[in-house]
Amino acid sequence: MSEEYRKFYDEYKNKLFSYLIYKSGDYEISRDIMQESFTRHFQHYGHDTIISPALLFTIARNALVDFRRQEKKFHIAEGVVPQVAADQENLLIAKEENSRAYDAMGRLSESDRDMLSLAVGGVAYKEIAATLGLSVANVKVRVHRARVKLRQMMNDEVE
Amino acid sequence: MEYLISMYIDNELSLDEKIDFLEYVHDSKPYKEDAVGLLEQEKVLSASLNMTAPDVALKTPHARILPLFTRSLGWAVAACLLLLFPFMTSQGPDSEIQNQLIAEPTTVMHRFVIHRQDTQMVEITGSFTDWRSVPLVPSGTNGYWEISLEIPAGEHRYTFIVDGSRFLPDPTVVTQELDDFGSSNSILKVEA
Repeated sequence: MSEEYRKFYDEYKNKLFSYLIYKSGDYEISRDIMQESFTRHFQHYGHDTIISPALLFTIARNALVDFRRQEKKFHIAEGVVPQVAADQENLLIAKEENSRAYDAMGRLSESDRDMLSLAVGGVAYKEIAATLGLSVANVKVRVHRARVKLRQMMNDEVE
Repeated sequence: MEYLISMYIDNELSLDEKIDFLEYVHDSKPYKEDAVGLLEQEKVLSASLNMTAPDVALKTPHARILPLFTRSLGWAVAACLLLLFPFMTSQGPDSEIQNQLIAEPTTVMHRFVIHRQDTQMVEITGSFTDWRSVPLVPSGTNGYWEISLEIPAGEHRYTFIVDGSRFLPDPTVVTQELDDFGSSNSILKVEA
């Protein structure tokens, strides 16, 4: 791996992982898709020489969609109890502590959630725009609206 | 200008927008309360969302072989691997690239992209254009300019020219070099 790509990897792995965790809610799946995405992205980068974070997120989104499609196909095998690894346990605890935020996020529309989980993860608007096929101006407005909507939901719950 | 709050949270404000934001916060109490409320919410959100990723091995030729060996066979193999490593690297991506070099033509299409808002013209000049200026084309309306050029394999020096006068090395390329005229050129290695 080139020095440049190593830097990119270090900068983006947590952002991508957080996004995937949010999207899939599963530690193992997120890890696998993260690995797959960086690998594919790196191969692509080899031809491009310009490192595009948006491309990384696009690859990851598509991989997740593919995975879900696959999962639906084999959904019948439901009797298996998934093993809870130590990491997953921590994740569950973290989830419970912030479950209110999590639940509220779950009630946002898919596109609002996408946008907000990228923004909260620290991905630049420019990259969010490129990933989701929107203009930067549009992202500005929609990220904010999603935040306000979320706050509304959480306030309503308290009352 | 409500969304300035989110831009503030996401570190997306320009200097002018920072001034606007501060003035809004100062002038309007509800605006300030919104800003603080959303920041509090952000603390909860980022605590629940932002995870530390486990390290994964990229499936490059090196990375794919290393974890497999070390995991299953431990130190003995690790020691052997040290001996093997020079051979593995010699068969790694470098030799693939060399193979491609022989098989494929020696020019490569390379896409140059630069982000420059509020400019009338961006050009590129470099060793691959014989230092003639070639204009870039605006890509969309977000201030991106781009051009794809056919470039011979090898090392090249180039720079962007903004509005016909200002030289600007490529911000996406780390390697730069001062030229004889006091500005910087970016260095690009094109591998066929």
